[in-house]
Amino acid sequence: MLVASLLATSTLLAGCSASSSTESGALSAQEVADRYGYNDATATLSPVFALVPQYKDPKDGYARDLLAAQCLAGVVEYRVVAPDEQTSLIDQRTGQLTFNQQVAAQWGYPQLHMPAGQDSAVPNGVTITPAIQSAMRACGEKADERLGTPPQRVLADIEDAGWQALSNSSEVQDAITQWRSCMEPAGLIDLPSQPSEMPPASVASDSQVQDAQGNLVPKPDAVASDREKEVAVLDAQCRAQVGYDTAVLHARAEAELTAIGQNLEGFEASRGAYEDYEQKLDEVINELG
Amino acid sequence: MRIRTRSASAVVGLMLAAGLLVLGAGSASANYTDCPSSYACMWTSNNYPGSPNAYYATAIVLSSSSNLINSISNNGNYSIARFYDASNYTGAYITLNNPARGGQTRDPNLSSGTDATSSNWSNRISSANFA
Repeated sequence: MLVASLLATSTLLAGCSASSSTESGALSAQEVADRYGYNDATATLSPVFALVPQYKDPKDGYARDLLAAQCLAGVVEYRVVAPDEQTSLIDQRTGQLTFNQQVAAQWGYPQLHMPAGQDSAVPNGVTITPAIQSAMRACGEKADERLGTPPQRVLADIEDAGWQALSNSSEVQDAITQWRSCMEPAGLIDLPSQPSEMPPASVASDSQVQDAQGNLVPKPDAVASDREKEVAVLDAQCRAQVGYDTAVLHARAEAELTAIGQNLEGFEASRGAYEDYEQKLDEVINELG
Repeated sequence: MRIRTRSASAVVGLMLAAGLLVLGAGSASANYTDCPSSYACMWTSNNYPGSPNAYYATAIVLSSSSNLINSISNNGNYSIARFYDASNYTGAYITLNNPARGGQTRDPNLSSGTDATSSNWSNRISSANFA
């Protein structure tokens, strides 16, 4: 709390000194970048992830899983996998799929062929009875009593502002236009309007099935066809060639920095609160990990 | 991500079909408990009314209910369920924990965001998975 208070105070003072930046008193995106040393030319993460290392830290889930496993001992097996042992192609912190030429060549589109890695929680095949369910909920409440909840609300809103900015970014739209031209050699009759919608049905049909409600779910143990890999590799090459990922990061960064500048006090308070929260996680991990 | 067998989906499909029949007969069932064990579920209306409009055991790309989801529940075995704005597990997302982890495990009204965000998530979800 002391740290949070000092940060809040320093923020207010800093905010006063820079209040001339805009009529509303908010700092501009560039001023926020300068203040925190964020350089989107070299950054690999958007500001909210880069400036608050504790935000969506996989340690949160790990500590909670450790508590759950201890609490559920004798009730049901609850498996714990440390963050550095995760084999998923989904980044455990950002929640985004890893997709590049190497991944495309090996997996095709990774969301269709997730490697069967170890996952935390209740093992496959274990039926969760109402009694087990009740015990699990009770354990979850105990975890909340010990840890509280992660102070991510302000930061999540900042992150969301970044994602919302993509549709209005000329840099992103230009990259999408170039990507569509780059993808022409693939000869896809159903090329999506943007890379984030890849792969289309003509490529994914061998790896997905429709469920009873018409939704698409991964086909168990489906292996990427040569055609899928061919399209995926070209897709990855085109995204790199036109700078699609870079354009997305730029747009997100600009919008996140702007959102931070508009709520500097809330941002700083969240950073401070996360430091306190992280200490509790470390205590659990040191005790049970 | 682990892959489950199709037989589980078939069983749940039958369960849900039975639920739909009951609803068709005038059931007033409206509860997140209609989400079967080992699945995460989504409803197009607030407050989990009756059988879910979509559910998944590993991952799902929504079709008819895409951008129409308004309440969600995680009743899966996995540690965390992610619900994405974009159609192929990319972009902005919200999460629900496994109940044993604590935190949020369901949300009855996405228009007011979730415990983790105040952003409006009504009619936004297009895909979801477990991680």
